[in-house]
Amino acid sequence: MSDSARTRQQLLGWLWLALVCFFNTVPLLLISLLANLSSVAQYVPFLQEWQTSSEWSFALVNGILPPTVSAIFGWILPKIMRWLSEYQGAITQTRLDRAVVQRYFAFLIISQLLIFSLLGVLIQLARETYSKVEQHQSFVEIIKNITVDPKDIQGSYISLAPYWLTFFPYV
Amino acid sequence: MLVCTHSTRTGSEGSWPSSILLSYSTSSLFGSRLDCSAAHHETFASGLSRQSSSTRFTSESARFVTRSGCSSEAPSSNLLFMAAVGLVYAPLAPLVVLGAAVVFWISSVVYKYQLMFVFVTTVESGGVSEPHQAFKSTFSWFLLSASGTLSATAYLLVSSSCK
Repeated sequence: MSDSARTRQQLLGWLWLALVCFFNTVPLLLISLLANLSSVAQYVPFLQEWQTSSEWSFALVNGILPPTVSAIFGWILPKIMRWLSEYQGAITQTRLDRAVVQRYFAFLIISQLLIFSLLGVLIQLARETYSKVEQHQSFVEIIKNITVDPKDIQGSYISLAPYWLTFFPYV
Repeated sequence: MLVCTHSTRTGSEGSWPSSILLSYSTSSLFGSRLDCSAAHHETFASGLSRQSSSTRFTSESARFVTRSGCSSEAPSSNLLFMAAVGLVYAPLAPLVVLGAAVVFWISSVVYKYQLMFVFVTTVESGGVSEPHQAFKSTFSWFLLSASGTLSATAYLLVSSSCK
C-alpha cells in the first residue's frame, strides 16, 4: 500500500467510524428511553395500561431489555471497528486488538458514560435554549445564560445507578 | 497442544483499600500471562505468518480464540469500562461499586478458568498492549475525581441554598 493510499484510507476509516458511532447513538436513545420506561409510562397510555395490568412483566422487561440492547450493540460494534482498523492499514493482529480495545473503550466512555447519562440534562438544556430562541433573545445572551445545575447532573447519574447494576452481569 | 501457565499478579497492590479492588482486579485479569511454549508465531492481518523460534512471547492480547473458533475482543474493553463506571459511581452511588466488585470477583474466577483451559491465544503481542490498558485504568481515576468534584459541588450548592 502506498503512503497516499494509506493516508486516504485512514481518513476514510475515521469518517466511517464517526458515522457508525453516530448511528449507534440511535439505539442508545432507545435504550435510555427503555431504561426510564417507568417515567415514560405516564405519557404513553399503552405503557401505563401495561404497568397497571401486570406489574411483574413490566418490571422484567424494564430491567432486562435495556442492557440486552446495549449488549447486542456491544457485540456488533467491536467487529465493525476491527474491520475498519484493518481497512485503515493495521499491519498485525495485535495492532488490530489494541486499536479495537482503544476505540471501543473510548466509544463506551463517551457514548454511555457521558452522552447516555446526561441525555436528560441535555434535552432539558435544548428545551430551554429553544424557548429562548423563540423569545428572540440574542445569541450572546443565550450563550451567557446557559447554566447547568450540578445537582441535575448528579441526579441524572444517580437515577441511572440501577441501570448499571443490571448492565454489569452482561460484561 | 499449548502449555499455558497462568500467574496472576499479587503483591504490592494487595494492601490497597477496598475501592481500589476494581483496578486491582482488572490488572490481575489483564496482567495474567499466558506463556505459550508451543506456538511461536505472529500472524499478520494479511494472512502471512512469521516464524520465530528463540523469542519467548507473552500475551496480554485482548483477543482470544475459543476452541469453537469464535473470537471475542469485547471482554477486555467491557471490563475496563466496568472499572471506569465503578470508579465514577464511587462518590455518587456506592452500591454500584459493590455490584462491580461482585462481578469482578466472579469474572476473575471465570476468566482464570477460561484463560487456563479454554482460550487459545493465536496472536502473541509480547506485552505491547499492557501500557495501553494501564493508561485506560489511570484515565478512569481522572473520571473518578471529576465525579467526586461534581458531587462535592452539588452538595455545597445544596447546603448553601439551605442556609
